[in-house]
Amino acid sequence: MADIKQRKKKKLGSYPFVSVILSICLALFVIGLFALLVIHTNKLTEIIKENVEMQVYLNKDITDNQRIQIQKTLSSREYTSEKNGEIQISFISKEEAAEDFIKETGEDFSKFIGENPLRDAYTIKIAPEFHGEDQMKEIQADIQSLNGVFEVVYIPSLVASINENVTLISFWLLGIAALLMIAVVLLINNTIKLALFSQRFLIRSMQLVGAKRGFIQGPFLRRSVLHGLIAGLFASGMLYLLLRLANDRVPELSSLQDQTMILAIFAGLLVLGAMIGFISTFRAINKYLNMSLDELY
Amino acid sequence: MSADPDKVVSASEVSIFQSGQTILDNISFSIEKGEFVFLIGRTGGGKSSLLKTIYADLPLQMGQMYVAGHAIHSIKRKEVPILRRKIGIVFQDFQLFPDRNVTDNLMFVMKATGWKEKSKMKTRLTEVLIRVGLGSAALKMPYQLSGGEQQRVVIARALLNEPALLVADEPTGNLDPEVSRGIFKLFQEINRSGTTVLMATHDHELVKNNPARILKCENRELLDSAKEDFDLSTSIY
Repeated sequence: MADIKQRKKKKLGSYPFVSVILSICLALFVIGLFALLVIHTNKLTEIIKENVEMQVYLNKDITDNQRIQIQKTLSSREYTSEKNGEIQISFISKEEAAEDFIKETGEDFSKFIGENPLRDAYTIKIAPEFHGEDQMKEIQADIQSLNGVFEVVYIPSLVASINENVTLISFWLLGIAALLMIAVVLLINNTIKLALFSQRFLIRSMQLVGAKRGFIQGPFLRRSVLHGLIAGLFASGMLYLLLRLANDRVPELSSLQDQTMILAIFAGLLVLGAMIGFISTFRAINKYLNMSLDELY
Repeated sequence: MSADPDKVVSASEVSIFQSGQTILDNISFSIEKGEFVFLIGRTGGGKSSLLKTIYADLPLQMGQMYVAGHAIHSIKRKEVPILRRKIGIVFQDFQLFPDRNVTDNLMFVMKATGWKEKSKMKTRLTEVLIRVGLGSAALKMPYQLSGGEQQRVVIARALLNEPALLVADEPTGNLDPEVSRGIFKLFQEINRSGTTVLMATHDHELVKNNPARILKCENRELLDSAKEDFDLSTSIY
């Protein structure tokens, strides 16, 4: 048995690869997680941004002419958003509002109040470029100044707080990914150094007979690209499982997912894995090939 | 100074340094095509450093040297493998790969030096093995060969690319006198067929019994038997 082992040919470019694959895989997984977070957040903020509204309550004694004038003014303002050529403004009369209220609560307030206390109202959607806190206040004041407007109400946008949280999480994820990348580069560096050291006689012989650098580098580079691809595949698989698990727990999550984007992330991880493997190995092997063999000893 | 086509090695005002120390100072010499030259001197006297400079393992920092048409003083990293294909190197510690047979050892070197065609590779393999007298050892593993036979395979490996210069550093250092004589004869035969041989050795008897040009590294100088007389015995040990 020992004899068979001894006769097994040393393959140029082989090195203990399990730890390298695991490290690249871990770094890619965190990077993939970051990418998934970004696309989910983008989709979520897109949806939220499309639905930022202001309720414009009108005076009770308003005339039809005044109401139509307000509608015209609101429609002409640049902060009122437009979708598919349609101005995003809708009118809800106090009767419709009362009906909706009764439907939702099941209580008919007109029986004990005697009259409808609700007001006619316009709902306008605000264009995304006006979602800043100060801008929203300015819009509120602008509408409030219109003749016939009783009150302007809006719910402060969630976008700012989402962006704040996402920035924080992204910062941490990118930090962890950067640390892992450094660890991967160092690990590959040391692994290649050990591989070159263990194969120094083979390499010395090749150098002395006149083998070109490419002949010595080739096997190392081919293997590291393969290992990077394998790591990318594992990382994509892990992310896929994580997504499925998350979708099972929170079914609404799938509405934020774009299959093409997710596939692009997986493909990106494969390419990134191959690139990390190639560049780190190229750097490491060049560093050690530039040394004289006495130095490598 | 430019490369002389009749000279395999020509060096002018060369100084060789190692670890900041001057090993050989302002030496000039040349080796003609087809010459057999011994290189002798004390251990640490500069023989190996000179050989390393010739095959561009040690950068030449001062002076000019041409080897097989390559300017060693200004050689680019890319050019080094091309130079080494023109130099056959035989070392005491430049061993065969113990994990593969003679054929695989030689084939590996051919692949590493850009041989592509299988049929040409096989023909060349047979040629060099016959030339070193090991026509029937192609499938043997190194451990199945004697020390002398292993050294013959190493010489066969050095001859694969038809070198202009065969550099041998102590090629008989590990062999008994009888086997050494056989290996030396092989070098002489190779030299007679036109290959220039530069052999570094400590073997006093070998140098004495086989008259040839001698270069001697001594006191940072290179003495040349073609130009002056010097005592061999004190310089060797």
